[in-house]
Formats: sequence, structure tokens, C-alpha cells
Amino acid sequence: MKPEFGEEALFFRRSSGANLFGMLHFSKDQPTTGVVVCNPLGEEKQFCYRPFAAFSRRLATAGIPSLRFDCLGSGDSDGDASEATIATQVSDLRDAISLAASRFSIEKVVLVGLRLGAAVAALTAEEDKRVGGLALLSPIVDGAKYWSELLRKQQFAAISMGARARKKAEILEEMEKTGLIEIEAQMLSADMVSQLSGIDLAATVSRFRGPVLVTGLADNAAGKAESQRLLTGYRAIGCHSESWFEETQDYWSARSLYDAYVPERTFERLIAWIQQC
Amino acid sequence: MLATKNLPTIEVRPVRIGARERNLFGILHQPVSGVPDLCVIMLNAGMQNRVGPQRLYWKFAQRAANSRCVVLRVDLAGVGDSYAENPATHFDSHNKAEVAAAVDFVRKKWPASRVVLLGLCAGSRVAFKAAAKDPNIDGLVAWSTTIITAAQNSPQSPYEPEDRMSEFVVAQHARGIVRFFTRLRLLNPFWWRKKFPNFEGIGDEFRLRMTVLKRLISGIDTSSTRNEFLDAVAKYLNDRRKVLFVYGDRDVRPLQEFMNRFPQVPESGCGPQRFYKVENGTHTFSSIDSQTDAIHKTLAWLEEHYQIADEVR
Repeated sequence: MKPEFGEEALFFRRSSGANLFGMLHFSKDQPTTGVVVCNPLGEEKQFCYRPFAAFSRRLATAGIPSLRFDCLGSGDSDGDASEATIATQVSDLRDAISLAASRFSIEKVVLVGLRLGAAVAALTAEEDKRVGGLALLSPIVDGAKYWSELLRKQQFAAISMGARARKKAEILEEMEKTGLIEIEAQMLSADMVSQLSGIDLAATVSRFRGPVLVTGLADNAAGKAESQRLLTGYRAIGCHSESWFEETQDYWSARSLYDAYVPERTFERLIAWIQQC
Repeated sequence: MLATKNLPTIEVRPVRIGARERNLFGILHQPVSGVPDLCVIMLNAGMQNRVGPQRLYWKFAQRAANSRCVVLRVDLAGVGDSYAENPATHFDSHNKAEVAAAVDFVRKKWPASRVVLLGLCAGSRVAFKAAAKDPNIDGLVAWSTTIITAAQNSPQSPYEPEDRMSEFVVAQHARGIVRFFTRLRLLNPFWWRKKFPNFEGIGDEFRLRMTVLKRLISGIDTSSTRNEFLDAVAKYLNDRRKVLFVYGDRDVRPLQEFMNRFPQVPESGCGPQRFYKVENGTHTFSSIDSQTDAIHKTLAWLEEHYQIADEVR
């Protein structure tokens, strides 16, 4: 069904020149805040694409405009994945915030980030005063652990394609030589890997002072522990923070794609939380 | 005249498609000027949006679009940024009427251009069904076409009988039954405990094995049950219309079921119908090498049949 308040797909320029794809979701009333959605990495982004489209449409109905966009080297945006790093993703997010602020006539935005997108949102909030709130969904708090998971997935994927089993040290040595590593049919640069593995959100957060929400899966004990560590960090610097871990199914996997799973309850509570920001 | 060299020749823009509601969304890669000879419409790989698995569709469009070839990557109902909803997620959930709307869209803009549909998996299934209704669709590129959807990872098509099995799958299960008896798994409690924790699935497994035995005893028959997709492919091939099938050689079951079902499609030659196997390619060509190979072979086939090579590039 056609959204009530209009959507606009566009390509907008990054501050360094390339074009990024974005989808603006407008709302009826003059908003006091807007949302910028920060996507996870790689195929997780593909799998949660439609749920986030639905989320933005619900936000619009609730009077909150939003922008979903693709970072450099992903989705419909320009560039190869090898050109992207965490630093470029933060820069892209800041450009997206500028676009949202200009098109929605708002001064503050709430960043809603999933998985690595949540980490990028948190890092951006440390340096961008236009961020008025952070909703971090199943955030990647420990980048080194996440990188190990990605590497393990790639090792298994290579075996399934008939390649011999390669040890982590061998793969990393090759990355040192070529400066690139293939993950999910995209080439990531060594810089990206280095910046990704260096993420330790709980130790990094120090400047953001706005409200923070962290959500996650109910049965992911390790993820919950990491998220609690992050919340402790935010509380220590005086942020008002909330959390809930109620979801029983993820919405960023192939399984969720074919179940057409939308985390209705999470989105409903999230919208209510954003309205309070 | 440095500035002239740097002017873009291809424009990439978002579009809304659909006669009245403009319910579908797409990204159009079109020449800035001139009339293209060919329009390639890329149809969703199942529920994955127009970017494609591991950005495959985006990469193809970047390579294919030139002054002679337009590429439209479309989001069908329930996928990506389309307004239209579709609660179904099985292999035949895509609607051929929406494909027709995308075809109408490009035909209105470029009435003289030929149209080729390209889809991976469920995208290729709906491409065949749409082409069966529209004899003016000039060609098809079918990546990883799933011929029989029963017992795959994604929800089975409701247009197939629940117990539908190909020869390949029957043979696989038959080997499993032989191992069950020869390795005395029947008598091994550890095997039972590992395979059926909490005893879930025993009934389904029993019914599956009975079905396999019935097939083996009565004779394997995969041709008697027809559905719109299989009829569309058979007619398309019988009418000698242009098609390129591309499969990864690691996508064993769909490839084998295709080769068993449609042995008349050759792997080589210069006729209008051909299939190609991508080395170390999985169902979604999930490595850079296999993506590059699939894209390269598809472009070569398009250049051979539609002369779309851009000398300027």
C-alpha cells in the first residue's frame, strides 16, 4: 500500500564526491526530530532491508520522518566495498544526517543502528552534536570478536565452494600482502579490517550525553553481556539509558528473510521510545 | 576538452513502476542520450532486493549498462522498497503481472528496444512464466533456476505436490536408506539420539522414506506432475526462444534436476539456447570469482545475440 506521506528515493553526494543512495520517508506534521537508520554490514543488510522499510513507514505514520541509506561500497551507492572503512561509514552517516536535517527541517536526529550499524551510530554520536538519541539494536560492541565470526564464516563458505580449508593465519598473511580480503563476495580492505577489529565501544564512549536504548535477542547470553558492558559505559558518563532483550528471533539472517519476519514488538516499543527523545 | 571525457554516459536513477498505483520500485541504468538496442530487466532473487545477493545484480548492471543496453533492477511486491505487499515468500510468490508492468515501463520509454528478462532462482521462475504470456520478450537469462522446489531451504511452492521429488533427490534418499540398514543405524541408539533429539521429526522421516521406497518400487516419475512454471519452460524451449541458463557447479541439486529435466539444452554451441556451469559457483555465486564468471558469460551471450558491445567503453 502506498505510504500516506510520501517517500523520495535519491542519490546524494558524499562530502568526498561519490553518490550515496538514500530513501527519505516524510511525515505529516512538522517534526521535532527525525531518524537516520544505520545498516549492518554485508548480507545482514540485505536480509533486514524490508523490515526496516516497514519500520520507516510506521515511523512516518507516527509523525517521525526518517532516512535509510547505503554507505559507500554497499547497496545502490557508488563504489566498491574495498573503498569503505569504519571511518568512511562514519563520514557517510554524517552526510546522511546533514541530508535528513536539511530535508526534514530538523536540528536533531535519532540514530537507529543494527549490529555494525549500531557501532557506527555510536561512534558518530561521539563526534556529531546533531545526534539527539541512540537506539542500538543488537550492537557489535567488540569488533575483534565480530571480525573473528566473519572470518570463520568465510572459511566455511570457502570449503563449501570446494576450496581447501585455510587457517586464519594463512588468510591474514595473504591480507597483509594484498591489502584485501574477500568476505561474502566483497573485498574488504586491510584498513577496514583493522578499524573493525579495533572497535571496543564500551571503552570508547565518552562524549555523547543523550538518551541511549540498547535492545537484543533474549537467548543470546554473550550479546546481552556485551550490551550490558556498553550500557555501563554510557551510564558512567551520565547518559539516560534503557534496555530490553525480548526478541526471540533475529531479523538479519537468511532464515528471517524467508520467514518474512518483522520484529513488530521491538519496532512498536522503539517508536514509542523515539517519540520520547 | 578534458571536461567532455569526464561526462557520465550512463545515468542511474530510481523509478516507480506500475500503471496506476506505481507500486513497484526500481533502479534504472540508462544512457544519457541515444536509444538503446536492449533493455535487461532484473527480477528479484526470491525475497532479496534489487541489489541482489552479495550485490550481484548491482555488479551486473554496472558492467552491462552502456549506450546500447539499459538495465532495470526492479523490486517486486513484498520486496525492497516496493509499496506493494506480498505475504508469500515461497519459490512462486512473485507475480508475473508485475513483471509485465516492468516490461511495459521500458517499452513505453524505448518502444524499439528488445527486452530480456534476467532472474536468479525465483526471479528466473517468474521470468519464464511472464515470457510464456508475452511472445515479444526477446530472451531470458536464468541464473540458478530451481526446477523442483520441494525440500529446498526456502518455503516450497504450493503449486507443487508436497511429496514431489526429482530423480536426483530420490537417489540421494535411497543411498541414505541403504546406509541406514548396512551401517546398522537402526540398532544404534546414539545415531537415533543425535538425529532426533526429543524424538521430533521421526514421523516426517518415516513418511519421507516410505515415499522414496514407493518411488523406487513404482518407478521414478518426475514428468507426470505439471505446473505453470514447468509448462512455461517447456513451451519456451519448444518455441526455440533465446535463453541462457547459468548454474554454479556447486549448486548440485538444481543443476542436476535441470539437466535431467531439460536434456535438450546444450552446454556449448551457438544456438539460441544454452547452459553454462560456473566453476566453484554456489546457488547465489557467493564468491567474487564465480560472480565475475557468471556476469562475464552472461554479457558474452548478450553481446553474441544482441550486439550490445560498446566500442566507446
